Amino acid sequence: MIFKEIVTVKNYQKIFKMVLNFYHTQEHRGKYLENPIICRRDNAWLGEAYYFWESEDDAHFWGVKMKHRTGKYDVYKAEVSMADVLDTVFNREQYNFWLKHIEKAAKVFIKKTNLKPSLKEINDYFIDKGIWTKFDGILFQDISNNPVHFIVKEFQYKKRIQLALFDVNKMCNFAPHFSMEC
Amino acid sequence: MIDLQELERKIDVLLENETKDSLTAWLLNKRFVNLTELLGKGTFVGLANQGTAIFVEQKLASFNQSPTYSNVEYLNRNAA
Repeated sequence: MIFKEIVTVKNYQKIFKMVLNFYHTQEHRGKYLENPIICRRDNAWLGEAYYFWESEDDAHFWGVKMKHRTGKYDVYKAEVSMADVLDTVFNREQYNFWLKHIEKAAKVFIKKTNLKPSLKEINDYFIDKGIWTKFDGILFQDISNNPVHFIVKEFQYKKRIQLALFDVNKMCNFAPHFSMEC
Repeated sequence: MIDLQELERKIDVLLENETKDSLTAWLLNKRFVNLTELLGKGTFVGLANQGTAIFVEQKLASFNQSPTYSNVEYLNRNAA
């Protein structure tokens, strides 16, 4: 009676979707942050969001490479439930959905405006229009350019996974994880 | 759980209802905001007078450049 629901393939994800740790890197500016900082940069490819790394290594490398101006950077750790995150990295159906609609929107933009949108603009468009906000964030990947990851010759095989979280209230236990001089 | 079918329906309706004007306005507005963030607050002035700068920023640029500096050689080298 306690466990009435039979675990089928269909409801497996619903019941067991994980809460994962993610990492957020920022310059150290005298005191620790209480919340992550939203990214509005032009190269924020998933649109305006709170960006996290799935791997500590990538968070550390981002600090060395991009957050070194004050001579020290902080990596924060937070927990995010993946239940309502669009997972384009490990979920084939959700990846295909994302790809199809990014390309569909790009074609409409080009046809109706004669202007080619950037990936950030398309994602910002879907956020502005309340589409992407129907879920908590997007998990996406590219390829790391961290030389430490080039263990095999001539081929970078490791995914660099990022989470763009649209609503800061969807994460919890945000806290400093480590700080490094650089 | 994310309802992909419902999202797809909403996206189709959204894109279908966009006109040339509405979508162009959204995109240019987005780009203009970004441009303002890049340049800072300033005043755009008309191009009627060819000698007039098109954007007048309130703070002065600060960089050191030799008075004899020229990029002609560099450009020629690139052209070659």
